[in-house]
Amino acid sequence: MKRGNPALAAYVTLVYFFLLGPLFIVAAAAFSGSNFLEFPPSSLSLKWFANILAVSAFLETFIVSLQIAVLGTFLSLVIGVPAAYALSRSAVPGRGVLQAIFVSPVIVPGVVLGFSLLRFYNVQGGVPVFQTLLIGHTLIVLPYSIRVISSSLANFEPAIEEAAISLGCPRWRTFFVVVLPNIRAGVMAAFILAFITSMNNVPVSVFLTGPGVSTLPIQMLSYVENFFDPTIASLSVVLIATTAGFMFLIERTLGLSYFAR
Amino acid sequence: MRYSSVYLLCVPALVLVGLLLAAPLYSTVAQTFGGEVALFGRYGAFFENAFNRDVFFRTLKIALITTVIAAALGYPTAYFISQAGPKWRSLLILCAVLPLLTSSVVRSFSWIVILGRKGSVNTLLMKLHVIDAPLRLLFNEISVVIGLTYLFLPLMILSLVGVMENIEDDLMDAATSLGAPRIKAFFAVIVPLSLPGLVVGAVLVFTGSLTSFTTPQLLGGDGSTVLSTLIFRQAMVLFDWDGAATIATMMVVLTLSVITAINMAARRLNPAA
Amino acid sequence: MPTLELRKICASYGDNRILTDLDLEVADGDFVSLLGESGCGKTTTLRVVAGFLRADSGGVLLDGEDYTRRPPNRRGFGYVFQSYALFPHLNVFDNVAFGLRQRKVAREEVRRRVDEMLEVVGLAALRDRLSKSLSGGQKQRVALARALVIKPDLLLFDEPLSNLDAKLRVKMRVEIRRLQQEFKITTLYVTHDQEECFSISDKVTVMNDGVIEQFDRPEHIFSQPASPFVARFVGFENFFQLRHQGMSDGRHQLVAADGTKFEAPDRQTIPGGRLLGAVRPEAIALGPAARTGQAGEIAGSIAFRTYLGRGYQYIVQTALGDLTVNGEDQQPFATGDTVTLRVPPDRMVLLGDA
Ligand SMILES: Nc1ncnc2c1ncn2[C@@H]1O[C@H](COP(=O)(O)OP(=O)(O)OP(=O)(O)O)[C@@H](O)[C@H]1O
Ligand SMILES: [Mg+2]
Repeated sequence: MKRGNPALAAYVTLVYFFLLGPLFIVAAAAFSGSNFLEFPPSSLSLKWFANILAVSAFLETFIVSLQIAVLGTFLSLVIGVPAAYALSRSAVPGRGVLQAIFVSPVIVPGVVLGFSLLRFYNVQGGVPVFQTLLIGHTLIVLPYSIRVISSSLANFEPAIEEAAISLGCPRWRTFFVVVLPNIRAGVMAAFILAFITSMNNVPVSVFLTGPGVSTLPIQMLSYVENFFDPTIASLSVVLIATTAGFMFLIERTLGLSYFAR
Repeated sequence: MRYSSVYLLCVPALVLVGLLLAAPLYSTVAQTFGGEVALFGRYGAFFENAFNRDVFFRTLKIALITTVIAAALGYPTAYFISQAGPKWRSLLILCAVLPLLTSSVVRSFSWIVILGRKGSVNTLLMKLHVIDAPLRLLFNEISVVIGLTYLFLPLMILSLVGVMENIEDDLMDAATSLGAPRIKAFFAVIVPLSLPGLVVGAVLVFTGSLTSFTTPQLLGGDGSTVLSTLIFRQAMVLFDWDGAATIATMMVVLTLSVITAINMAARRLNPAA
Repeated sequence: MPTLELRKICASYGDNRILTDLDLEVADGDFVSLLGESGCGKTTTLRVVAGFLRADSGGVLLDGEDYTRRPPNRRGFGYVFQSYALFPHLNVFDNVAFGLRQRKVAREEVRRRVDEMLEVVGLAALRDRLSKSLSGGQKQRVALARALVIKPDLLLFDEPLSNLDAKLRVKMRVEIRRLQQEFKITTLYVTHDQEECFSISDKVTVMNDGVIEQFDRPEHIFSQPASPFVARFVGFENFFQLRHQGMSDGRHQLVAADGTKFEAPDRQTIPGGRLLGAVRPEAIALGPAARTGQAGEIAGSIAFRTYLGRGYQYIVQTALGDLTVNGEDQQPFATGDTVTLRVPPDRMVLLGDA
């Protein structure tokens, strides 16, 4: 067994204070009774949680975010799963290039993507804001979908598929009756990751707001810039709790060790 | 699988990325070369402006400092995690992933709560009578660096843990049995073998900081504008599309060069990778 | 060359006690093996000797000098790992040179000694290859060269051959023995492969559950196991509970619960208490049913037969229980045949029955 190094342990403790402290402080500030952000709160109240619902823009933008995230994630899977599957099962010429192309949207800076989409589709092409947002979000989550699906396909032995094919099942049907049921957890995890990524996006969405269309993070951003009350802290608590719930789901489907690769 | 069906299955993704993404990007880049300006004229004009020059170099500086701090905080932490027992390891990874999946607005906002006029730091210092009036801790380069470090530290930790976990325990024992004290063994074995993780982490943190929008927008002030907030202002406030397109193109080039440069440097340092 | 002594070593992982009062002495220049089933504490013993694991109590001595608290990097022992533990970022040469560089040996000499060692293990041609691009056998040689080049006072092996195929295993173990003798290095070698262990060791230590059951020359372990555990471990499959009835004709006279008489050679000292007679399957003679009334005769019938390649193995039902007997190729018996078994007096080993 390794002898623990106390200096290292102390250092790591501090790092984790840094990682988790701010989230706790936000949570504490959310229960403040005062009209200003303060920590520690001078009085306690739940009124800022109530205020989340009182500001109608939060609910409206949340619905837009939800629509975009669900649709975008779904599209990215419908488009990404066949590509990931094809590339994982065959060494076609140009495979590396294709893989690089499919993950390239993460390399493009978000603000560049947002600006370009606004200019090209919305301003020059007359595509409505909502649809442009959808294109943008589908693009930014595609790499996540493809990566997660590819890694769960890599853990699924091709011999099992070949067994099905040798038993007379055509390849396309093999995919649905053998492969898909076995990578269910991966698809689920890909969905969650892509969904979270889309829900949290700011740099692309910030360019794509129009009459009645904006996403929740953008609404939060502008609220923070204009108001100094703890409403955003309360909303943050709700979001952190939701994130924790999703993490529980990921832990169940993919295992959190997926993140440390 | 036949090659033709492989390509067929890739067509939707290719259309999405190759057309829906490439076309607007191409159009943005093309715009910077159009009109009655000399080739690269817009780039020249950008750098002639002192304010723009400051923004450009400040962006690089902030990204660099953030990367160095994240590595300094993340490296020992990742080593600790990779050496911990399975229970602790999962818990520590969990605690690093939670902030990672939390909205960047929330995470930047948390530093407003901490560093704001009535924030935790000022409250504490006033209570202790260290200061009489609240300090102005927000809206400067330091608060942006803190926010970015907070944003990207988990990525650094996770990239490193992934690599360090795969370093065999026996290697440290082998090095000590051959006469190296533990600290020397650490530098002879763990450090070179974890270099790929450090490279991945550094690329993620550096490019992330280079292009991050939310944090500089919320935690930075007028004196700490960076490229991404500048693009936003050019496009959405000043409606200077040419200017915004120019910055956008520079950001793409910058990101690609950084990725290439770091990877090349890493390959030079470690021929085994 | 030095003598290694382990004195009353106790070691544990957390609350889990693995070694209890373990004593062991490896004489100057000897090749001693630790043999035992998986999980019995062989690796643990080796890690205590190397200093990777701090013993709870007890001492590790080399030539009378106390090594118990000395850090592993200052012990100067060569350790060959089961996983080889080659540094994947270094090439063959740098792997072997690692220990010398820790000792601040001059560049020129490092080159000379490493090249020499690579020559000895037959890897000169691969000196610039990255270690991760080698085959199992080549990695094994690098690991060996890396441990040998520092001229260790003691050489420790942890199942070094278990990742190799059968043919290579035999070849490498001959090589390990050759090098050990050439350099005259005191060696402690862990394995769970009996044949490997007997073929290369001067002495063998049989371990069971953190305790040493027997420490002896391979021939003795094989022919004179000291406990039922060791007997089972080295291939004794038939055991009879016996009572001692005195001496006659210079032999021990013994009787089983059902009255069957046995004899055993006098050279054995009789342990006190209840006795257990142990016999190997190939030691029992198998013949058609015919009683002569001599000691060591058991009547039985064939219950089961398997073909072993060079002969047959039978499970024979007898009044003393099912016995395992190996028979010759010619004229095999069939299931159900009645037979007579004869246990020759000099093939019976007497053990204390725990
Ligand atoms: N790091 C550890 N932490 C806790 N228990 C351990 C550890 N290493 C080994 N053990 C336990 O100690 C016991 C002895 O282990 P050891 O590795 O010494 O066995 P071994 O004789 O070398 O077995 P094998 O032939 O399988 O290598 C085993 O029960 C094992 O489960
Ligand atoms: Mg072992």
